[in-house]
Amino acid sequence: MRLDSSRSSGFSEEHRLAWSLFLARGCEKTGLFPLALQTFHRLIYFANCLAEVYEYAPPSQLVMKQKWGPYYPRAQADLDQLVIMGLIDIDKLRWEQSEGRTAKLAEFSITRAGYALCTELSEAGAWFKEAEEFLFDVCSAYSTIRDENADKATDVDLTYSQRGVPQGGVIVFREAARNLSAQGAKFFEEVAPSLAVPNRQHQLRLYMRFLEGRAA
Amino acid sequence: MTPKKKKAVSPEPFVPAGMTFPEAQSAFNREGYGDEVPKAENEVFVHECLEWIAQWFDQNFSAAGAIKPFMFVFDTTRRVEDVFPEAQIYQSFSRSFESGVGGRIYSSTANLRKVYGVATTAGTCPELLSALSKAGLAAATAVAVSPEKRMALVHSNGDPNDAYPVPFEHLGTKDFDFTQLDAYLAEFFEAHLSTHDGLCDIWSKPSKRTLKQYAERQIQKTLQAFFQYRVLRKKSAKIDREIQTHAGRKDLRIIRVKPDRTLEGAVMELKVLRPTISDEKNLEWAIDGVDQAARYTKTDDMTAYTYVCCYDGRKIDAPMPTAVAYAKTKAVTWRRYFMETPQYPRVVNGFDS
Repeated sequence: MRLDSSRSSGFSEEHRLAWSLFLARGCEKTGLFPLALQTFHRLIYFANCLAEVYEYAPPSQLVMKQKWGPYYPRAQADLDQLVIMGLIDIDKLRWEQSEGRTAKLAEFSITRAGYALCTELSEAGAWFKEAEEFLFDVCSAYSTIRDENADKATDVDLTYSQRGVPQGGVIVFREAARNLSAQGAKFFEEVAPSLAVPNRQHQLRLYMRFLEGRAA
Repeated sequence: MTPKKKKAVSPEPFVPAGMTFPEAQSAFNREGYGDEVPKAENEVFVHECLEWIAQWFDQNFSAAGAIKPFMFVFDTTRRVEDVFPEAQIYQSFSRSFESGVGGRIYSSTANLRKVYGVATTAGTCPELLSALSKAGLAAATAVAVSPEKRMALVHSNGDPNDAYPVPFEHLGTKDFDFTQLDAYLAEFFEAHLSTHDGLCDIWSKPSKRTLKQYAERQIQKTLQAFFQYRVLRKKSAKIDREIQTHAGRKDLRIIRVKPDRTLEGAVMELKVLRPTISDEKNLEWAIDGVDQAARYTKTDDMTAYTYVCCYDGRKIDAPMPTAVAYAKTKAVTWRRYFMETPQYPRVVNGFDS
């Protein structure tokens, strides 16, 4: 199975778990660990909307706009399961109440066993290899944003901040026309000189650089 | 990979909702061109390392002579903290360029955001790479830095003998000038390849005049690094290696956007003439390089400078008048550089141009 031919509804539980695990591996290789739970969900969001740049199908193509940023209940359940399986480490777990909601806060990192499983999976099939490479690229691009601006990057993201969507509203970006983030990343093909068209990996970096400029 | 069907491309570029062209242009100017193709993880690491080292030298240039060599290691097969179990964590290097980094080997993430260091007594870059092999990490990617020599040695092929040097002493800060290309190529040759003691180690047995198997690739990488970090002012021009075009694969290409937004470029086709094959075969190889270079020039109108650089590893330093004449008919600039080894001296004055 290839990553591009698997539609979001076709993600099996194993593939969803692998997606979260590879994201954790990408964070490890780009120094984003230990990772705050909120940042994990932001990265899941960026991976979901920027997968279109690679012409890949992500596990989810929608996001609920909320004051505290994106949150994916299913990805959270996957992460919890990976913790139980001993593939992800959890630290500083606590619950906090603020602004009328109760939030779970924690820091995550990949375990030695989790990392070894990633290596094994990426050798096992094209889907896993492509997911590993793409999610590394997402983490690598995100890690170029200065820490002080990173949290704000989602708030100014083109899809997340699009006009006409109130707090609590759901943004569906299954259609390319609604995925403004991917459009923004691809727009750098128009900005670059003809013989220096940025490759897709570089488009992610350019897009994050653009978001940082806005967030600063 | 099987991409989805290409969507119809609108002839008019449009700006996505919420974005402005100046914002996008500003991001592009800050981030730079990027490479022709996406980088693998270890290539990202090498790129990030070299960019960091360039900035580190900018900030520590005068003090660098007294700082001990150090090395960064990137291993894709294990977590960064597991590479050297006895290592201690250091403050992130990604935005810190302090001078006190010498005398250690650092296991690092791809972007130097997280580093774990161990002390080392290795006094040179080759010694640091040997330490890598001894630690069972020969398959890892590493960048060893000699502050005293303002050089780095990049190891990425599993064989420390294939490491290529990167110089960090800039040649001024002006924008890249294509008319100086010849002088840059000559300087590169003198420093790296004119003798077997040069900075680029392409001989497996210099006394027997035996070249390494992948000498051409090693020269390509070294020349790219030379232009990138010694010659090109950061982001004033872009240099690529092994560019795929309709006319075949270009070895090295430099392009620059002129103030009027048009492009200007140079293409360099590199060939290594071997001591183990006949003169006829070497001549064929050289002429093949001329043909390749000429084809590139035909396929785009921005290539103003086309070079064939023959690094001559034959046993006798003899001119190649047939190749010189052929290159002239194709409007390709021919350069032959004879590489000396013990008992095989250079005798032709100049570069056979």
